[in-house]
Amino acid sequence: MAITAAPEIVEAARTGDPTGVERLIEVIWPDAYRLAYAILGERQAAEDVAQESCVTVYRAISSLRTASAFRVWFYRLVVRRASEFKRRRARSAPVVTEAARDADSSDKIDIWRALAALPRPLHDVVVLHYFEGLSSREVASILHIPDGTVRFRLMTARRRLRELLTDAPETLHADREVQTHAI
Amino acid sequence: MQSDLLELCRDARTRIDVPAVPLDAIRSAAQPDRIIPGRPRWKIWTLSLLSVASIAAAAAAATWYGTHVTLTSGAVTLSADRITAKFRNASSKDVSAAVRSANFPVILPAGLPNGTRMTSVFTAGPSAVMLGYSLPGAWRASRHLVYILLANPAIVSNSSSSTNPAGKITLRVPALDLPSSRPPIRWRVGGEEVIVGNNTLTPSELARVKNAMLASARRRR
Repeated sequence: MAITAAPEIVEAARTGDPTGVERLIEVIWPDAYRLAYAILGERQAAEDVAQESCVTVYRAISSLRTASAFRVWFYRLVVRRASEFKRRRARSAPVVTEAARDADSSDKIDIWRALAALPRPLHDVVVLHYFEGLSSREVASILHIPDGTVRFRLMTARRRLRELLTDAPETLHADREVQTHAI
Repeated sequence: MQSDLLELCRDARTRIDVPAVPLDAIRSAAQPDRIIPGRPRWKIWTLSLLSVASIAAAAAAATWYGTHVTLTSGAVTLSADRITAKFRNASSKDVSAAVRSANFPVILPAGLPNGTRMTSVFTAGPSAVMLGYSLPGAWRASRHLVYILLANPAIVSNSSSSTNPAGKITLRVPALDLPSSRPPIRWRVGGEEVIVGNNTLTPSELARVKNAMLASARRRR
């Protein structure tokens, strides 16, 4: 579920061997892309973010002290790059993400549309916890927030998603505004 | 709800189509001459050039002594006797004129994202041409301008010792400035040195530009 690079692959890459680094990038690419897509909801943006993250891995993996630190380091990297991208995009007009747009248009709201309707703090913890299968402690470490805050946000997000996944699509925008002010 | 949500999210995650890993682009972007530089400073650059252009216009009778591009501590300095600039709505005619007057084989930037619009052309004598582009995509917001400097490799150096002889205009080019710890983004294509400023182009876009320019140089040979 989560980024699943075997320790020996990370260790081989950490020694600075280019073949080892490229092997590692091949292994982590799908996870990096999926995570970026879950956060951004756009294919091109996800590809750019995943690629930028892999470029950083290529350059900086040798500076990692231990192979066991790789997982959290890489998650932080992708999340940070995706957040930077979101900030840049937020300065322009709001966009409907591809994931939300492509979602099931039936009365029942698709998970992507529900996710897109969540405010960003809730959105990120949901992606890391439910999509990536990370524990609340790991999520806290990646986002640099207290564990209790993660658990509170997950509880709030679950309540919001329950409402969104059972509501009609028309209620999405109004709900989002209310929630944005409440968080 | 929690287990349902977990299932739903896991299922959604596995249904994401993953494109092939762009290993060549990653490898190319990770080379030491590739960086992700700091904030664009195109406004300062435009103002600087405006003032330089005014000085240049006032000294229209100046004699041509040559141009020099110096790369030090992340900064790009252009030293020249004469700079001409077309700031807005530059046309292919302006580019053709710059290419014709160049004393090196100019390979124009290629492979920029679809919808890119050229905005400005600067020439510093026959040895350097800088093109400004406005990139498409609302997500770029204010970071949509990119400047690409094409120069005769003979005038580019990492040492400032040969710059700023008496009578020259020396201009630090903010649009091409980078954080001090990082080298500029530069590469050689044929007999041309390419220097790219700011981080409005993503690594993949930069790799595409470089590859397209190299392909263009190969076709020319």
